[in-house]
Amino acid sequence: MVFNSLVFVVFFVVVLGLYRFLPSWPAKKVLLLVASYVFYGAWNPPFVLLLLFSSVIDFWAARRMAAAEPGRARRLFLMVSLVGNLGLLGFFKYGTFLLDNFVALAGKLGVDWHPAAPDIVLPVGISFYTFQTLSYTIDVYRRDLKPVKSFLDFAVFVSFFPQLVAGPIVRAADFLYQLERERFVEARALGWGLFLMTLGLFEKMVLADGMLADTADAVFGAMGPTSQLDSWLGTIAFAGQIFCDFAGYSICAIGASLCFGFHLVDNFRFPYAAVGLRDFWRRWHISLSTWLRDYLYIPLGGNRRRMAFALMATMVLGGLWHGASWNFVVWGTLHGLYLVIERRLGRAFGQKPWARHAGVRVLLGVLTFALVCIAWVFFRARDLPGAAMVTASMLGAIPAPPILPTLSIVKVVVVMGGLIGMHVVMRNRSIEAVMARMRGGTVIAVWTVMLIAIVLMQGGGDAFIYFQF
Amino acid sequence: MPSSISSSDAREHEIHRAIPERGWLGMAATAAILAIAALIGWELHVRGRGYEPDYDNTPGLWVPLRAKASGATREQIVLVGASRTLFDIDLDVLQQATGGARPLQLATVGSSPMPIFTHLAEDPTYAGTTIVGVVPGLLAAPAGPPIETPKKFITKYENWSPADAWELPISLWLQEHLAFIHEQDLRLPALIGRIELKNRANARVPPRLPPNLATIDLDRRVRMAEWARTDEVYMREIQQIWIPLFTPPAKPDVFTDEQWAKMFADAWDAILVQAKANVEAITARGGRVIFVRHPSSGGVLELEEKYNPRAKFWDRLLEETGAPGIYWADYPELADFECPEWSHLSAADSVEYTKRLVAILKRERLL
Repeated sequence: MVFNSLVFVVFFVVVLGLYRFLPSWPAKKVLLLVASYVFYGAWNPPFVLLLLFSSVIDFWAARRMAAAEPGRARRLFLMVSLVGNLGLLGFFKYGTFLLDNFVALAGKLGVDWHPAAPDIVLPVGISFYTFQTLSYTIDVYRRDLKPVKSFLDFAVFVSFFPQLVAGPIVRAADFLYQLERERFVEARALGWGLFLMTLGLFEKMVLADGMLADTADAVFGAMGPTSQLDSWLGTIAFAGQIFCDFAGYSICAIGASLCFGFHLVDNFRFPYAAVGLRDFWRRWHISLSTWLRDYLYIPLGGNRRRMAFALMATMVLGGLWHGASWNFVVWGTLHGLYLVIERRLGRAFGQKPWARHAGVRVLLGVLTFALVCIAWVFFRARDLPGAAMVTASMLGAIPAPPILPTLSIVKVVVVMGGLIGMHVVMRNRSIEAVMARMRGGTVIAVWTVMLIAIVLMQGGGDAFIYFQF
Repeated sequence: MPSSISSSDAREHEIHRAIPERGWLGMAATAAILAIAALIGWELHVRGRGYEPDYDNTPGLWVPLRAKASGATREQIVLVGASRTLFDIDLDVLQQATGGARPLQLATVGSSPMPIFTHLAEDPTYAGTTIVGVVPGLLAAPAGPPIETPKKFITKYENWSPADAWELPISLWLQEHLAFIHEQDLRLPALIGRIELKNRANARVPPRLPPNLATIDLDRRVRMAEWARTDEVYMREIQQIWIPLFTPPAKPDVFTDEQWAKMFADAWDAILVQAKANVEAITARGGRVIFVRHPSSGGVLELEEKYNPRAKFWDRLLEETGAPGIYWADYPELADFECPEWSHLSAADSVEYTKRLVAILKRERLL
């Protein structure tokens, strides 16, 4: 079930209504669990068993881990959790990729082997809930967190429908305590949650699907190279599309959670106003970048002398987290390289007075956006040759005729100009602070326009891009 | 404060989102009322412009029919093709004439029949009587929208979920009651797309499709709107819309004439090989395949004869596949049908056309 569907509207109203009037907290939690399983099963009912499996394994492993003496027994239960979760992820997400590459390698070595196609269907959102449950068992292993006593609480944490399939990746420490006390539907939180849901749907349906997707599709789906201007416009359109798609989902998730009385962390903070790649990753998909920092980068020695290795390994694995393809490996590698070079340059020049000059920071901001866009090419292109062709077109290496209609250019310039301008203005602000000061009539006007635009999209939007991860 | 989240004193990890101090529910209600009022105004406006509640020709309508085709036997007629199959074949007439089950209309607009034809052929349970409507330029298309459009329908069928099944009745109910829900003409991107700006040379401008030309029912029977048929100015306007759509794409500079011609020739050969395999697969299971070339007129017919002459296209299709076919111009009782906008029959003519087509199919023992 997707947020941008009529059936979700009905589902949300029914679940929220029942939640409001159920008399006890345990009953409300049972409702949330059942609703979350219905929400997830609405894609593919058998995959609910995966959620249940993940919940049971990690609940059990964490309990046994906490009760065990320090040493091998604790590590054993941690391994059970890691193998269970990463095994599922590996099979469903990387099985076909590994097999294909093994077959290709065998072919290079002269072995002509053609195994049957595995035909594996990827469960929606498996990367998100796998990382979520792993954070729990690792935190318990590190004794940063006590194991939860109630299986119901843990199952609700794993499957909580607003953020189940595309994040934010919620840490156990940030959510489980919220299940200890009853959460109520409160008027102000409900209204603000509905505003955030409207904003998220507007970003997704109107800006991403309605205004930007066709330009990105035209450039990345072209049978050949496109002109330099068109290649940049298509890539910038994709930069906007993926932001509005993913940030839109996160805002919807945060808003929907608020309606039920739950508070989730931010996942985006105006990333296209970032100055430097380090700043970018503090603003883009924050729940993933902090997860990778705490559970991968630091354990790999990132805070010590192995910074470059830890950064590269973290970003390459972060790329692979998005999908089993060499394109994502290149995307992660590029970001790893960007970050390593930035660190080195930062050490050499960061303290120079000119480095803090406003003009230099603007130029660095533009450069950051350009580098992010070049990496997006590999994220969006169908394959590596396609990405290489778009990149070459962006660099002006392949002369090609223009393909984009003027209207597409106008849409990209207007929407992306507005979006980036808003990111710059909001760089050090929060939407809550801005909305608190905005005149009531303006808020109502903005809300009304967003509602009308969403309805005029007629539900014709596509699924959220990040569902496939 | 860059973040809207703060830590609570009570607990180190507690997340507390700031909620602006405003009457949010009141503002929500006001915004909703204003939006509903604006949409009522929009609904009245589009009704005044001739729109009426109608279904959208989306995969949601198609998927249940495709599901019924699985397990179909020879008695079940299944139609694949492009918009001519949708406009020109009257399902009531076809059902009455054959005395069987309701024919399954699986054609999709602007499409090559090949993706859906192949999908049926590769379904081991399918053994229906398959009437494949062929539009020369679309059947010969190697890639692009004529292939991608039907593939979207197939993808939706293969990924049909309980959520899709629950969504469908809600969506249909709205479509039955609201005229402004009209995906092709009145969706926001279509409205923005009406803005006309001067384009650069070589720009690939999306095809302009004729607005509000037809209606579709739950069985996917498409009927040309009677008001549209009788509006000669509108018909002439649509005729000019078809011209670029039926003109092959210009050769990119990176190819020589020979390379460009060879690419299309190779693609056409591959299509014929696939079509032959499809015919063999369906007939081997006891089904039938009949190709039908529906009428076209005027400038569209001229373009079709210019770029896909009959000998190269139609005669070779039947020769390579070994399947029977009906070419409308070969039969005096069909040859006189005129398409008012050069590509599709009017609703009234489609009834008579289907009657005569069925009579021919029976006469030639194809049904």
